[in-house]
Amino acid sequence: MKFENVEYSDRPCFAARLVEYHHLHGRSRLNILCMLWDKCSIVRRILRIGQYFGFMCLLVFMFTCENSIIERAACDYLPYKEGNWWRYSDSTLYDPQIILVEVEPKDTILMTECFPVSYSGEVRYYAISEDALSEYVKILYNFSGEDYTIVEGFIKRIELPLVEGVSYRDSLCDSLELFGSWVKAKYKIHGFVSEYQYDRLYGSIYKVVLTTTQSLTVSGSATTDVENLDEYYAPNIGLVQFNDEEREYKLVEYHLE
Amino acid sequence: MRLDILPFPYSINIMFLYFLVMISIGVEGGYNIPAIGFNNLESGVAFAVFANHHLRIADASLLIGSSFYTGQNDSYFLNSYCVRCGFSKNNWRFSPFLEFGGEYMKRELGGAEETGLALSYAVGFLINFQSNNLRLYPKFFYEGLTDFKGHGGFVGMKLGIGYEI
Repeated sequence: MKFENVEYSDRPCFAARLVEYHHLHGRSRLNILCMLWDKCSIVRRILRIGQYFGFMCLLVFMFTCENSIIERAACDYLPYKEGNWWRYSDSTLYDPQIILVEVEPKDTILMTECFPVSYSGEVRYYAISEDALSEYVKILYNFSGEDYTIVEGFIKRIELPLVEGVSYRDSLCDSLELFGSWVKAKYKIHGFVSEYQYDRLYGSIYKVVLTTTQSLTVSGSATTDVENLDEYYAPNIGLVQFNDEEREYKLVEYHLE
Repeated sequence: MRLDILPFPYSINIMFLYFLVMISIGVEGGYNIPAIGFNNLESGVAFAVFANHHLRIADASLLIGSSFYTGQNDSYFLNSYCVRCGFSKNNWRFSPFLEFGGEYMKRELGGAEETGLALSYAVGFLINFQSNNLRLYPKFFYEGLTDFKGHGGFVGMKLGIGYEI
């Protein structure tokens, strides 16, 4: 569209309005407008370059920032799947201990589908639900050579998803009368996702501090076992390190299906 | 606003400001579901406001938006706030579009939270329905998020409305 040798290629609609406006208000104002518009196109270009420059600065800022929120939010920290295995070794130079952790085919316990996970032959059962990794716990009491189940059930081991600062507790408690005396058992777990650290090899690793307390009370006398455990989980790999009170085990080899 | 009743210099300034900054403005909102990663999320809603500027080959838009996702764990939420630059052809009935920008994200579980920045992009297509100055469009897209260490994404649908000034 052309008016007075000035081309309004970008905004025909707006230009038409300008024309209409200046038909009403006189031609002299239109001349002023045209002059302003010529100047304005330069300003507009400068502004446009400024916009892109600002946007590029924002992108560069994001490229350089050491943050991995997507890795932490999108990745799977507990890849328990049949056939996956991890081999750990403790840090002692003499008599190093190797632990092989293997995920076995799915099983069902207490009507809950779970993964048997073998820790060098010792099997634990984990069930992954929408909000937690739960572990099957069974406390037995031996009386006159026969085992009686006092407590049995799944307890929340790790609350999902992993988020720094999350603290949770869960417990199982039950009692049984055996030949006139009450046997009471309690299993408690306290978990705390203490921090995440960035590791060059494994990515963002979460540290989970677990304290388990198992107590058994028979005729008023109680025995209590407390265990402290630190576990480190890496994205799409799983457990990469765990420390108990005596040893520190680190991942040396793993295989994921 | 009636520009013709303002004194002459002010009316011109305001009109040129409109001319420089925007051609059309609008809002859009929709629904996203996780497609890659984000296994702990259920679904989310997204809302954005935009200003659209007509360039020679395409329409460029500056978009400010927010998304809210609920987790499979009832106490888990993911919030994100984005600033994006996008390109589309608003005068085509079926138009592809591309958006990219920055995202500020917040994850929350119980009382604990984590925050971070990410790069986001969206590709897809929109179907334009125009009536005078009004443009109505459904938009279908894949929205990706990355921090260059991990990657995840959503597929979604939005409905948008724009008004040409």
